[in-house]
Amino acid sequence: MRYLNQFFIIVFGMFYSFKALAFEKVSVGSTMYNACKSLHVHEKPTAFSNKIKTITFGKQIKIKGLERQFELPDSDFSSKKSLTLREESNASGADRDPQPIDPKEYTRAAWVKIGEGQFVSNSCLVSKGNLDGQNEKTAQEKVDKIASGKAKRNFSEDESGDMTAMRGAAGKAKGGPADYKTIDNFITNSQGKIDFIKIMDFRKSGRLGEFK
Amino acid sequence: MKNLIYILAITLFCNFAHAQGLGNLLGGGNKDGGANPLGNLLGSGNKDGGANPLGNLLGGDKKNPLGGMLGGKSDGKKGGMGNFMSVIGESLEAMENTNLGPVGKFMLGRKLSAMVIGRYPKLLKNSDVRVQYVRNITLTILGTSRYYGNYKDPVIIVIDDDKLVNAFAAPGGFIFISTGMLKFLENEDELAFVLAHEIGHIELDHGLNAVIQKTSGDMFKKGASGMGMSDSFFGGMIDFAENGYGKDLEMEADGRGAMLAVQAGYDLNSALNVIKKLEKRTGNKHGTGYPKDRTAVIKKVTNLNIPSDIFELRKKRFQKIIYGK
Repeated sequence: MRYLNQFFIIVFGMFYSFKALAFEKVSVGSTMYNACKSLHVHEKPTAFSNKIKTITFGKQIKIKGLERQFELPDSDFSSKKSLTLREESNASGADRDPQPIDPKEYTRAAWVKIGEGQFVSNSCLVSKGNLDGQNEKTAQEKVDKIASGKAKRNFSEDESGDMTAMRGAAGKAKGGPADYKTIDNFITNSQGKIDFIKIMDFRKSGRLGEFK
Repeated sequence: MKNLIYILAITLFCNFAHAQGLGNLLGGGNKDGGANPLGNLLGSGNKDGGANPLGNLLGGDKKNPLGGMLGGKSDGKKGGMGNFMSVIGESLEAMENTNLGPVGKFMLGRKLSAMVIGRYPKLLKNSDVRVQYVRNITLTILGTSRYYGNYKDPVIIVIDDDKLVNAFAAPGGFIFISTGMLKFLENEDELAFVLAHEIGHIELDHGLNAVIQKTSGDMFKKGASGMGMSDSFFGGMIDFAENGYGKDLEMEADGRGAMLAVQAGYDLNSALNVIKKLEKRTGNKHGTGYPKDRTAVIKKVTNLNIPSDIFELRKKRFQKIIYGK
């Protein structure tokens, strides 16, 4: 019983670890939902193309094509490297030859086609099952649980220690008592302020982006 | 690397259990190598690790997936079956809590950013020309990123501290850079690489990855303690989890950052310069997070041939804005 207990723990640890972090897997024909406040629709699968319209939060999107596909990085729990290692070990334990991993398991699309000449960033899209948790109250509860439980040492608001989820370009990030008022002011003052024409001029003068 | 160590350790356990005849009980050894070997057996699970894979079987809800069976909060103090189920309950709760999505990542980033501001309260206003400049470069690089869409528009904050030479990123599109870092750099292309490195962390989800690793480490610790496993074996693994981003993630961010900067039109040589300067400044004394030669991964990226007049033009606008020259 003792070993069964521990075995369950390990297996469940594996269970929640094995999934891609940044992007949900999408396929042509599937239905996804926008979990961003404003999702810009572009005429090409690049942010440097013309913006046609904006999709609001929660809107249903039918996937018509996958664009700019890429392999998940090694650090991702669904990367080719991670899946291959696991398959090799599983095969060894089951006394069989390891099977090749289907590339669909470790590739994702950065952009998706949603209509003729209409493309959106995939990083905003979630499946129906995950849409329910996409509100600030539920999300805050989750973050608070992470802070109060499993990763307390790194998120406690009154602790000035290093923070696991943050790192600087020249060393570890350091945190102090949380100042929500100031960060919320910055968030508010950053919304809807992107002047696409001005930024295009910036790129043009520096020969960047589509002007490089 | 630490992910792989976890996976290897887990698999060893699985194989051991399989040899003991427990594999079939748990539905392990999924033929197609899917992401969730327990999903089918235990109910509504799916390969992508849905929000509540045990919900139906155990009669709980999303907030408390094991609520019905366990009869309340699992505090690990119950003996026998209660303790057994409580640990599983904690694992499930951790799984649910780390499945964040765009809104959750934003809220996590907001919390971390609030803590950074708590430590560095002196900030430049959004109207400051330096903030607008950093914002323009950041948005340009984000345009080449796979992570173009965020729950809310990105938040760029410049810490007014000339002694601090650093930049940070938090999940959900929060980027910090200090005036000390701005003055430490010599041109726009160097600044672009620093920002691209941070965007790389966001795009590759390193922040959430670190949280999950930390949580996984805690679960391993709990499991191992009752199993009489060698402390040093698990201690080493847990050290990995607790030390923040390791060198593998930093190298990934360096490589991806260099690629993003080059795709945006910036010069790769500036990335090499800024890393050499940072290494010289810190002398690698800031911890174990960075590899010995950070430039190796960047050298793999193919550089653009940037005309010198364009490079100089960007350098001039950098110096005008940052130094007022």
